[in-house]
Order: sequence, then C-alpha cells, then structure tokens
Amino acid sequence: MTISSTRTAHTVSQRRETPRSSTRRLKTARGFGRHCALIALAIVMLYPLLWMLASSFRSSDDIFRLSGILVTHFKTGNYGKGWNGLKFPFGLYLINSAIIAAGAIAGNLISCSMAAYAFARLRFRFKRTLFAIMLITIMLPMHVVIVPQYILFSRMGWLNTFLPLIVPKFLATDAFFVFLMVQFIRGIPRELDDAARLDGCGYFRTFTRVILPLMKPALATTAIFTFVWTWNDFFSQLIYLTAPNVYSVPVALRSFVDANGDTSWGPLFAMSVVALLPVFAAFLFGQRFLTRGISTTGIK
Amino acid sequence: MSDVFSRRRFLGLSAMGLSTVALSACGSWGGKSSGSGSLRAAWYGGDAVHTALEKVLAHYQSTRSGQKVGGEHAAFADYWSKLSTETAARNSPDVMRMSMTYFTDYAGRGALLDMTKYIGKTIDISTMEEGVAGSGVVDGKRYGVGQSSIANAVFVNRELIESVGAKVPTADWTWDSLASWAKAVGQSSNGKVAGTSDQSGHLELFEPYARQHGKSLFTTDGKALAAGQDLVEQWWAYWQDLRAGKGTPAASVTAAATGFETDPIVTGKAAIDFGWVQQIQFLQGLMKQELEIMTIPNLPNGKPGLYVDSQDMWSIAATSTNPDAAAELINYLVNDDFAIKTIGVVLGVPPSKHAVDLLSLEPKSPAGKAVAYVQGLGDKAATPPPPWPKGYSQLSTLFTKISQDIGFGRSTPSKGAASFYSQSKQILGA
Amino acid sequence: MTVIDELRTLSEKTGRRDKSSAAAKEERAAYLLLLPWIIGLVGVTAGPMLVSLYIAFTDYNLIQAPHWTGLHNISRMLSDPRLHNSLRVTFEYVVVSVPIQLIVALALAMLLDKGLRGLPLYRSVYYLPSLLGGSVAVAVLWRQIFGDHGLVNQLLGHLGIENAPAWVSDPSTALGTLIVLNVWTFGAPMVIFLAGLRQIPAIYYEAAKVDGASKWRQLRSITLPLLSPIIFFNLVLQIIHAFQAFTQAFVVSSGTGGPSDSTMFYTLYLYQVGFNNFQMGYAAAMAWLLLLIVAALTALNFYAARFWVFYDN
Repeated sequence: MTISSTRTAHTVSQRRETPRSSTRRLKTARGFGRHCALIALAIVMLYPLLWMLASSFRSSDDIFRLSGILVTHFKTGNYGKGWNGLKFPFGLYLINSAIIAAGAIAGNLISCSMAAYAFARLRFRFKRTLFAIMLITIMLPMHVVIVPQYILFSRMGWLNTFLPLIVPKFLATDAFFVFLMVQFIRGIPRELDDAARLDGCGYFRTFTRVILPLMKPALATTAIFTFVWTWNDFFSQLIYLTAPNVYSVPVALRSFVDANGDTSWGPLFAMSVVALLPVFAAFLFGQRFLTRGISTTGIK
Repeated sequence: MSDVFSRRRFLGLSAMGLSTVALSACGSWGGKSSGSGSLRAAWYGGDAVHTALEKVLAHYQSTRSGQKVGGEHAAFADYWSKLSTETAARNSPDVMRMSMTYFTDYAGRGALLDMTKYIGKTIDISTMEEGVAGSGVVDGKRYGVGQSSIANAVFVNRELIESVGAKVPTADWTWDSLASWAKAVGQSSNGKVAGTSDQSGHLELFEPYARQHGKSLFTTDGKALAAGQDLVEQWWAYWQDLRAGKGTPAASVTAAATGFETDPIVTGKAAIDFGWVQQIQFLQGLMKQELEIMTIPNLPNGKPGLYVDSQDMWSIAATSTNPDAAAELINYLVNDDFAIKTIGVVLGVPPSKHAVDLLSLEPKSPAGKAVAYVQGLGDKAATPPPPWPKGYSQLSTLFTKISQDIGFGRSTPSKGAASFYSQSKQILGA
Repeated sequence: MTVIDELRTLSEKTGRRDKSSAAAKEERAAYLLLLPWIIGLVGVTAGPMLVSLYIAFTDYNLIQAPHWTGLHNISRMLSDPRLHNSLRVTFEYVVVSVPIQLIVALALAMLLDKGLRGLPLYRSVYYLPSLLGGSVAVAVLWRQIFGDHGLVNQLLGHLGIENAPAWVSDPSTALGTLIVLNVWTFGAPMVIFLAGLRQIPAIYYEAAKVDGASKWRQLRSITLPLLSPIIFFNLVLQIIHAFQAFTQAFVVSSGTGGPSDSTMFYTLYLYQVGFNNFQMGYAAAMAWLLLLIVAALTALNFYAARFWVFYDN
C-alpha cells in the first residue's frame, strides 16, 4: 500500500522547490472561485440565523408575517422584556447553564479520554464485550431510561441541583465521546507511544504525556460538542431542575412559550440570540485547538 | 491470582451497584413522599401566567408567616412529561394545575387527593358558576377545584366578512346554513378567504355536536364512545364537503395552523373560527380587525350542545405531606381578592361571579366579551358532561390525525370513522 | 499439597513471570482507567436500562406500579399501524439524510482544511446552525422558510413556479423539510472530520509530494485511508442518531409528528406513547426493538469496516 511506502519517508524534511510564479495566477483564480462558492453557501447557511436576529427586533405578529431579514421598525424592547420577563434576570439562567456546561466538559474530557485510551491501546480481558456494551448504551432512546434515572437521583436527594446533569459525565456516561476518542487514538501512530514505553514511561505517563497532547483535536471536539449539547439539552434539564432559581437557559426559554395563550415570541427570540452568543464564542475559541494536533509535531 | 481477585471484585461491585439501583428504583413504586415544611406549587402556561402566579405566591407567603411556597412552572407540553416523571417517583408537587385533558388519567389512578372534606370548609366554592363548581368530580369524589369558566364559542371577523360582500350569520344559524354560507364566502373571494376554519380534527367541538344530536360523546363509565360511528362519519363528511366547496381553507393551511399566530382567522384565511371562549384574547391580540363572539351552530331542532365548566383545575397530590396547607393555598388562589386581581384573566374567564364583579372588565375588551358570552349563554347551555375519560389525550390526537388523513385524501370519512371507532375501543377500554 | 509440588509450581511461575506480570500490569492499568466508566455503567446507565427492559414486559402507566403482561406489548407492536408507519418514516429519514449529510460534511471539511484565507470564519459560519439545537426558534423559522407563503415559495414564485406545495404542512413533503433541516446542521460531523484531517501527520503529504503524487492520488492513498476511522465513526454514530431523531420533528411539528403522521419518527411516537398516553411499558418495548434494530445495523457496520477502515496497527 501507498501508506507503507510514504511511511518510509519519515525522514524527509525539505520541501521540494517548485517553480512558483506560473502556478500562482492559476492558484489565485481558483482561490477566488472557491471563495465565491464558500460565501454563497455561507449565505444560505446564515440566512435563517439572520432572520432569527431580525425577528428579535420585531413584534410577535411581524415575526410570523415576514420572512425577510431587513428590519424597518426596530423594536429593541424585546431584549429588555426577555431579560427581565421571568422571575429572575436572564443572566442567572446563563450562569446556571455555564456551570452545568463547565462541569460536563470537565467530566467528559477526563473520564472519556481515560476510558478511550484503555479501549484503544491496552489489552485486557472482556475488552470486546465491554466495548460492545458501551456502544449499546448509546442505542437506547433516553426517554425510557429517564424515569428510572430520575427515581435513582431523587432517592439520592439530587433533584433541583446540577448534580444529575454533571456527575454522570465524570463517569463517562456519554459513550459517544469514548468512541470518538477511541477512533482518534487508533489514528495516532503506535510508534509514538511505543517509543515512550521504551523510554520507561508507564501506561499513565504515556497517556498523559504522549496520547493526550496528540489528541488535542479530539479533545477540542469533545469540549465543543459537550458545551453545545449541554447548552441546548432541554429534556433532562426540564426534569431535574424544578425551582426557577436553578433553571437553565433552555428551560427558561421555554417559559416564554404558552400553548394555551400568548407566547412572547419577541422576547423569546431576543433571548435565543443572547443564548446563542456564548455558544458561538465558545466555538470560535475552541476551534483554534482543532488546528493543533499531530500536524504541529510533524515536520513542517 | 490477582486477575481472579480483580474480576471477583469487579463482579461483586457490579452486583452491588445493580441491586442498589434496582432497589431504589423499585422502592419508589412502594410509594412515600419526601416531607418538608414548605409547599410546592406547579403550573403550566406562558410568562404572563408565571409572573402573575409568582406574585400571588409571594403575597401569600408575606401574609402567612412560616408558610413557604415554591413555584414551579413549564410550558403545557413540557409540564406533562415532567409531572408524569415526578409522579412515577412519588415526588409530585403538593398543589398542581390540572388540565381536563389529563385529569382522569391522574385522578382515576390515585395520583390526586380526594378533597371532598375540604370543600365548604377550607375551600369555598359557593360563589362559583354551577358548572364550574361541579367540575373536578370523579365517581362522587372531588379531585380538582375549577380555576376558570370555559365554553365553546365562535369568533367572527365582521370586517373581513363584509369586505367580501357577505353578511355576518345570525345567532339562529344551523350547521347547514353555516355550510352554504361558508362556501359562498369562499367562492365570492375566489378561495382567498374561506368562510370558516376547518374544525374536522377537533374532538372538543365534536362533543357539543354529538350532544346536539342527543348523544353523549362517551358512555357514563368512560370505557367507550357513546356517539355512534355513523355520527363520526357524518362529521367528517360535513367538513369534507366544506373543504371541497372552498368553505374552509385547504388541508395544508389547516395543518400549518399549530398555534394562535398561524390560525387561519389571524392570517386572514378564514372569516370565522371556533375555539374555547377565552382564546378571543389571544387571537385578538394578533389581529387588527375586531373579533366578535357567537354561539356555535345547532341543528334545526337540536338539543343544547354547549356547556360551561372548568377545564383547568387546582389539584392536590395524593402523596402530599401537607394537604391541609395545600387546600388553604388553593382556596386563596380562587377566592382571595388580591389573587383574583393579580391573576385577572390570564388563566381564562374567572370562575366565580365574585371574581367577575371584582375585576369589572371593560365590556368591549376581549376578556369582557368572553365573560359576557359565558354569562349570557343561559338555556343554550346544558349540564356539562362528566370529566373526559382516561385516554382522552390519545383519542383526541388520533381524531386529529385521521381528520388530516381525510383532508389530504389519504382516507375517506367512512374509512376514517371505522378506524377511529375500532381504535377508540382499544384506547378507552384499556 | 506437598512442599515439592509447591516449589515446582513456583518455579514454573517465575519462568513466565515476566510476561504474565506485564500483562497483569497492563490489565490493571486498563481497568483503573476504565473505573469511572464502569462505575457509571453500573450505577447510572445499566440499572435504568435493565429496569426499562423489565418494564417492557409490563403495563406501566407511570402512576401505578407496573404489572406483568408477558409478551402483550410485543404482540401489540405487531399490530400497531402507527408504529409501522413510524418505522417506515424513520427508515426513510435515515437512508436519505445520513449519506447526504456525511458527504456534504466530508466535502466541506476537506475544502476548509487548509490553504484558504478566513478559514476559521467559514468554519464557524457553517457550524452555526448546529449550535441552534432544538430551540423553539427553529420551529418558527422552518415554517417561515417552508410554509405556504414561506421564503422557498416566494423564490419559486419569482421563478414563475406557482402552486408549489406548502412544504412543511403537506404530508408528502414534510419529511423532506426535516431532512433538509438535518443536512443544514452538517456542522457537527464536519467538525469531527476536520479534527480527523488535522490529525493526519503532515509528513505523509510531504513524502507524497516528494514521490510526485497527484492531489487525487494523495486523497485516495493518504487522506481517505487515514481518515477512515473517523469516517467510520461518523457513519456509525450518525446512523444511531438518525434512528433516534426526535428534537427536530418534535419542535417543527409541535410534538404531533404531523401532518397525518408524516413526520412521526419512531422516538417521537415512543415519547407520545410513554408520556402522553401513559403507556411506558409499551414505550419501553418499542425502545428495545429500536435497540435491536440499531445494534444489528451497527454490528453489520463493524463487520463491513474490516474491508475499508484502516487502522495504524
């Protein structure tokens, strides 16, 4: 296979000089075309979000009447109404969500990477069985396990706290991420950790010194996804958080909805925009780590 | 050696963990509640409801030293998922808002407390409208206290009707006259405005229709439909005829109406609309043209199909550790002047004459019109039916689904009625 | 046991000690690393799963204690037309939306991997829709775009196409709008692909350049094989997720799965059965049927992976 032939080229370090001037013009032209396509796609992708932003400045009936994104009658009142419309200022719900998300991220990063390293690199008995069990836990729809789980946590006195939303993450219950990291670790050349082992590193040192730094893209992905999913997760937060002072953002947002009366669409959209900002910021920040993986340790 | 040991330890650990989980999960089915001095009160609604009730609870606590009440709220659909989960764990709120749609599901299965002993003592219902006062009773036991008066009604957009050159129907209208009128409106506006919204999927309106035919919707034990399959078929055939004659909007327009904002009367696609009377407030809030209220059509010599009762109630959990305090809170919510004034009309038309007088609503306001309608029904309204049986929510969803099948040409009124009838046996009989 | 026997076994053991103690050490390390996961499995995940398995054979209305009904729920599944419809809808959704979403995600991930200015911005923009999750705003949004007078129909109107369907509220097109919605959120698998691409050692490409391999050749011989574990991961997980699709249909159809059950996904029906109809026993039976289906497909996937997924060991 080609892979094995390229691997023999590990030592190659110089870039071959290519005649540049002639290809440059072609490259810029191609780059321009690419940008055009990417921008066009970006508009399609963004339009709905711009509409959401526009709607946050509109009155309820306009939200349902207009599908354009140009706002003629700016109504900034939605933001004030949304921020102060519930029992507590919306900032409290943002803080609550941030605490849950931070806990969940820490939990997933630690526990899932540990389990993933074991599954991907170490030999032990029942490995295949345990791995299969782990996959099976992803496959059962959460709606049928949430009632027994609720009963379990209520027995432990954890209702109305963030514990049922955070502690399980420290126990690697998000098997999705374990599997994700397993796949990434299996993509790391084994020579690297074999070398570390030969240098006398134990399994834990190999894990923390070699594997973890090399799987930064996977860790970043895990952090981003955990943040986004926790930030948007509605059902379990609805069930476990009871009193308004511990409500999270999705639960608070749904408080504006009234199936039997007036839904406060304006404030709902305004606060949806506000709630989206931290996620976007988190992504912008987190995706920088996507660029740093093994490629930086390779030869430039 | 160490392998065996570690495996045994692992197995032991897992067995221990599993049995703990199993025990704690099963134990709760035995049932006991976590007791504490304070009350939990839960309700569904939007932010207007939340704000009003939080204010009322705060005032209640300030007037009664030592009594703590924690408010919990959710949107309607979410509320029920949460409440059933809490009920499964024997952890229901002490006081809860209960909708007629799920009332018997809870009351009939022992989740709610029989409040009979509080009525007339702790909880005063003497000033309530008759139908409202009688709501919340199952098999002679009281599981809920009504919090609003409700009745079916028709909302009319006079301006729109006149703009297409038609006349507003008069109060003595019949289903047949509605049909010919609605089709005429649709045709004169070239299908742009239909006479009425399509009600084929609303079981809540089919009930008064059946009563006008002298039939109850359900048998007295609630285990079967009392209205016959032929009547269901007739209902769906009636609306199919209207749909075909442009008397109602197209099926896809009806299916798109998932809330007040998309309701055909709000979007100007229908000139009249059916609904629960208090909904005029929400519809009117989204429209510029003024809405009027009418009674629903009848048969030429039909029986009164309408009724006034309460579809939303306050109930106490059977597992509540402090039912006396819960009953006191409910009395406060329905009778105290501050509570009445603060709640206003956010929970619907107030349940008692006293509350209506206290609010002294502007008669031209949407809420004022709703109150006037309920009070003016007189002999057009008959005794309310018993609470909807277990499985009502499922049945009502099925009714809507089959009506859509018919609307989109995937079924026929006769096939749909047969299917509804056979499935209803399984749903209600269970 | 005699002393001699004991000595003999001891000497045999010391002979193998090096190897077996290393293996034991490795195993101990593995279980230590797996400890949090095992505790979570035993304490949080497995218990409720087993409870739900038990409930699947009972009539459980959430309020009263469950009572054993044997295979009744299973025989009911065989004769439940709404269940069969929901299976059909879900399969359609999986078969159409998973491949489209993955191909779009992979193509854009490669496009956005390197060599362009403003990449972080593009990446963020493309990922933005995935940030929205199941927010209520999406429901309104989708109706604005695919409604009777929505954006799509306005555009079609400009092109002279009248009488377009009311996409979102027409049973023959409603599922299609949800597939579009799912493809629109291709950001999640795209990010995973990107992370995977980032992990391919640059030296491989350097070496390929030295060998004079074309771009196409590099794609086929380096990128795809080295990315295959991640492609495999995305495929497996997207299939599992698509079978459990719930939020988008729940939000867009206001929980009804309508019109006319055309967006009644399996999990949405399961949710209605469990929480609206108070038949958690039946819902649990449905859940385990889904698990069997998904597990079978996943096993198939793992089997097929032997022929196309490349692992570096």
